[in-house]
Amino acid sequence: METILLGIIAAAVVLVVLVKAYLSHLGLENVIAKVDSRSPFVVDEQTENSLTFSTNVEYVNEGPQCATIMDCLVRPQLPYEQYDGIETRGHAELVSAPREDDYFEAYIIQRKGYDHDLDHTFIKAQVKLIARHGMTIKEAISKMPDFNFQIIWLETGRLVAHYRQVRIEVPAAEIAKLAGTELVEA
Amino acid sequence: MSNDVKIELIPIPTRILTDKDDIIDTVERYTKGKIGPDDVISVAESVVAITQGRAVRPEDLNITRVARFCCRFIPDYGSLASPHGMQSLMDVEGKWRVAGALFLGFFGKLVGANGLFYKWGGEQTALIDDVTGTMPPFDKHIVYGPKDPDKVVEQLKERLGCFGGLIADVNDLKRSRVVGESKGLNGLMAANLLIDNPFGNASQKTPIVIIKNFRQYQEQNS
Repeated sequence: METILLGIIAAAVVLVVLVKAYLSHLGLENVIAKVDSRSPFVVDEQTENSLTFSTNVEYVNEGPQCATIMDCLVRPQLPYEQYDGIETRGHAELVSAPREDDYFEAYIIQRKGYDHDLDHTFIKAQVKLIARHGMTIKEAISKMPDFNFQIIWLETGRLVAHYRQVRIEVPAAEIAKLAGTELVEA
Repeated sequence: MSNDVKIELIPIPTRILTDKDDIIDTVERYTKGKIGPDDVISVAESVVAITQGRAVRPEDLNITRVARFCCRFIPDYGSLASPHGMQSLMDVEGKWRVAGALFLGFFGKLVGANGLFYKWGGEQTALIDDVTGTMPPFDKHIVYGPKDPDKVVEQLKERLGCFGGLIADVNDLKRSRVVGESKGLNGLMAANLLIDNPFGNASQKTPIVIIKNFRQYQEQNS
């Protein structure tokens, strides 16, 4: 009886180990936002009182299972406590499928090595700066501090849907140069 | 196809339909004056399901460990390959029924018997569309198969006075499947006419297709 019991336990242990090894072999999705190799900031639109700039970030699935980006948004971090001369708005869209309605259509990034380059995509992260207090955008930017924005996305695949984020620094001097102005001492 | 019968597929554009819409009233409104007694009305499976309120968002599901585990055994392109896709199936067909069917299906495959999971896991096993499977704003939803599809198509047929009603699952991979068909209609024959997916792909809004003159076509080819 004892031998049979031990045999059952041993078989169960072996089964668990085999299943774990199998799942480990299958692997998981692994989406990487390649912030370090993002494109330089470019001006998308400039008016008297606003400037919209953007950068393209490559999203690569380094895992052996396909992943889905269910949603994505850009969240600028420039509170009025820090500087109230500019209002910020963020926007994220797939470079391959731009939309004007600020809706992010869920997108599948196939597993690493998948055909037709479907194992990666590019997301355009866009920030709009709007001047306040009657200033022009050039005036407002000339007094602006450095700030950052987050790209936040809802990701799933083999894992339960979860939010992830990366942060991108925005040097004020770089934006001032793009706007055709320069920083002044506050 | 016979040369004598001129089959014509007429996709009907609509606004995005939601669970606030009644599928019978909506189809009647959009097809008024366009459908006759020899025609078949065909409606996309996912749209019927959405109007029945059969869509759920992943964040509204209570995802169990069993679902997380079981989904790993489905190929990653399948609608049940995600924890929420698997959980949505378990919520309607039963957790242990689905897990059992998956287990038996796995062993069935080892001895050359394919498709047992889909046979024993419940009818929704093959009907659920995971996120991205449907056009916005339902791309962030899991969409079930429609409820009582044969009843829906009979109601459509009666309301519209047409030859037949069909609910089909058609995709861009040249695959069409009959989900519901009215009595007297050769659903498979009608679905094969939809193989080029006149419903359109994700971002198009043509969930209704009229198959003109299908009565004669079916009579000649039966």
